[in-house]
Amino acid sequence: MAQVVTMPRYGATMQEGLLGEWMMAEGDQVTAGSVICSVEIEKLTNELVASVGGVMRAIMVEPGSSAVCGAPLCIIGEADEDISEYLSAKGIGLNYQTVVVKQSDDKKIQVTIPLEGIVKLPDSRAISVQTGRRPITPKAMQLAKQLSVAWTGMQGTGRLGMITREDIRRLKPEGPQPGQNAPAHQVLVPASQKIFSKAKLSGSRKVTAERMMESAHSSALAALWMDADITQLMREYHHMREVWKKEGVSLSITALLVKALASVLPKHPVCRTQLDSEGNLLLVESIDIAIAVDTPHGLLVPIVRQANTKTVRDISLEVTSLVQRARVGALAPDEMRGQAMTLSNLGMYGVTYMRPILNTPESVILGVGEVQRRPVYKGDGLFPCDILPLSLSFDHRLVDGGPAAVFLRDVCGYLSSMTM
Amino acid sequence: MARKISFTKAINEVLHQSMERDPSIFIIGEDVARMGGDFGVTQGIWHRWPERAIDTALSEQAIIGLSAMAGVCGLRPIAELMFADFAGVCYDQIVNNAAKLRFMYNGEAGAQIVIRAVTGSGIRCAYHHSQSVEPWFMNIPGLVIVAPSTPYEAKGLLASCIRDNNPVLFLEHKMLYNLKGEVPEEYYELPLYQGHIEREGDDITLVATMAMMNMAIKTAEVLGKEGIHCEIINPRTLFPLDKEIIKSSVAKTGRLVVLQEGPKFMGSGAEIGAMVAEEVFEYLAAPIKRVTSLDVPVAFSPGLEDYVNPKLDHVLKACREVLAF
Repeated sequence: MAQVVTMPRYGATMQEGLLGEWMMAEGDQVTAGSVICSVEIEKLTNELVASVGGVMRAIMVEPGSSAVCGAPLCIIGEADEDISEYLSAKGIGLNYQTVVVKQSDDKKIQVTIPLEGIVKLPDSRAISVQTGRRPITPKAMQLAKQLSVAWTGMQGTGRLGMITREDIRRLKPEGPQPGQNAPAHQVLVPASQKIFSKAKLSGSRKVTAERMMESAHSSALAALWMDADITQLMREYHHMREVWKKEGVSLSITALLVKALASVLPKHPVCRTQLDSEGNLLLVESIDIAIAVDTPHGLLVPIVRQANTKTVRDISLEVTSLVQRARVGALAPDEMRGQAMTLSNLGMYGVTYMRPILNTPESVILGVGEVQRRPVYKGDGLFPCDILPLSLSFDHRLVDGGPAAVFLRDVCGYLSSMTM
Repeated sequence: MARKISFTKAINEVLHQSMERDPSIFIIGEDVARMGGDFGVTQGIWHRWPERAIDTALSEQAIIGLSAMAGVCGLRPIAELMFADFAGVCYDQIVNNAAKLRFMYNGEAGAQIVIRAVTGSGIRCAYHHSQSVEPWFMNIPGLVIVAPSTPYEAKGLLASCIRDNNPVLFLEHKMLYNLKGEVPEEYYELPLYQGHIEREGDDITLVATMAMMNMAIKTAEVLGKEGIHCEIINPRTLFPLDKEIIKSSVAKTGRLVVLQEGPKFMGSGAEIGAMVAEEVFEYLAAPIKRVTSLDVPVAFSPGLEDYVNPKLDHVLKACREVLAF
């Protein structure tokens, strides 16, 4: 291998140099480190030192002529090698710099530093194994599974000969490419939505569903809310509860309310009007109060017939019996049909106000919440009072707001002065 | 090659040998000359070349500032920071001066200096003498960071650092000072910017530096008994990092655990992990784990100091988690 010695570039601004004189002639033996020629730049003369040994095969620039930096000056090679290709060498351009470095043994050498481009740091020792024990990368394997691509026996282009995602994609390009969104027609199902079980709507649930929809569609439901002051009643209630308990009678707020409603409803015939299936207006005479009971078989509404003729004690016994039988499913259908109005007590759950749905074909239903001790102004005095929140829903086709309000006010009035 | 000497002796030897070869080299630091160094590393130099060994006042800024400009003027200073933690005092000189001069002078001159800094924890020297400083400097372009792990590496790498024309931070871990190893008597150089494969294996790659290298070797021995073959990579130069050696290893094994002293957050493991995830994600079979010290200052109490640093059990646990993924 011959070496073409080029005009050095001793500074970033040097463009060309003048060849001063040659220290050797063609055919002379050159030793590494010996001076070949001198180069003049402006006022300075530099010595060009050979970095390789050999024979001076060709001198291409005359003494006294200038050459552009990087242009070939001479060729050093072996005595008998063919240098024809080197003679037509064009030069290495201006994109470098020559630096003279003094080595630790005091010898000076010339080093060419390229001025642009990345200086490549020495490569580390390559891993001695040329193929890995894995034929495919983990991500490529995932992709192959996803795209259903068979890869055994395939030649990989990745490191250590492994098959990469690129290789898999080349085999089956229809899969999603990196950067591409999922196709638009894909329906996205939320990951959290899991169907736990599936069953037909049947039994009492179905019945309740149908009844509620019928009621909601046929009636013009409106609602009023009012608070009944039952402070006085509560004193009596607590006392009688204890007394009757010893006699096996379970007194409840529900029983009191059935009595109250049964006492007030007779004076409010408007609230006892109902529409039959032919669209006729019916006036219900029998004061039958239905009570909503939550049972394991669903919502049942057994009726206390002619409650206005019964005492609170009787009503308590009857309510207890109805609830017990309702819970075990021992009620006859007749016991649950044909009421004047319904009472729905959710006070045991802590509910205050509600908006009950009418139990067709009635036109009023009373919802009752939890008794609450509240501060109430009576005149200028502030008193702790037991307040029962009442919610009256009514069918506005048959009962207007005024009459409904009067009914509710009367119920509240009855309760606040009720004695047992 | 049968002779075994300590880490400190190996460094001392190469300092003498380098200074014999190149008259432009001088040493400078606190107690480096007459006392021969706080750890005895520069013993004998002042006796041979009194004008080339300079004792300074407690002034790290002056030590590095003087060294940087001496480098610009053509000399080759080897400055010492008695504890690497003191780099805080001369951080400006290292980072804003030494690291940038060659760039600012367009390559025509630069701070060809070596800063020997004593780093790491384990000798009960508390908060200001036990830190792992490599993260403080790894992110400064222009500054080379070298971290030997054995006496053989210490001698060979320091020789190359002295001959390199860049400012080099040569990290000497104080727990390695008494480590003995085989070191050739003659002057030799180990290449900078190249990592070294300490051990070959197929199953998991461990990257470890300085005092953690011993833990990596122990881990490989324990796992080897279970049939798991670890490949251990020693980066040797932390910046510029030999990325290729780490990447080829991870491509082969698919799993990486980085062992590093010092806090986890933004430690050297953070860069190695992020670089691997970024550049060889395809070849990873498991997430990357880093085993590091806790993110707290190193305490004075021996029990707390030991608690803060990673132990073999932590490394084994991390490796097993990565292998089980």
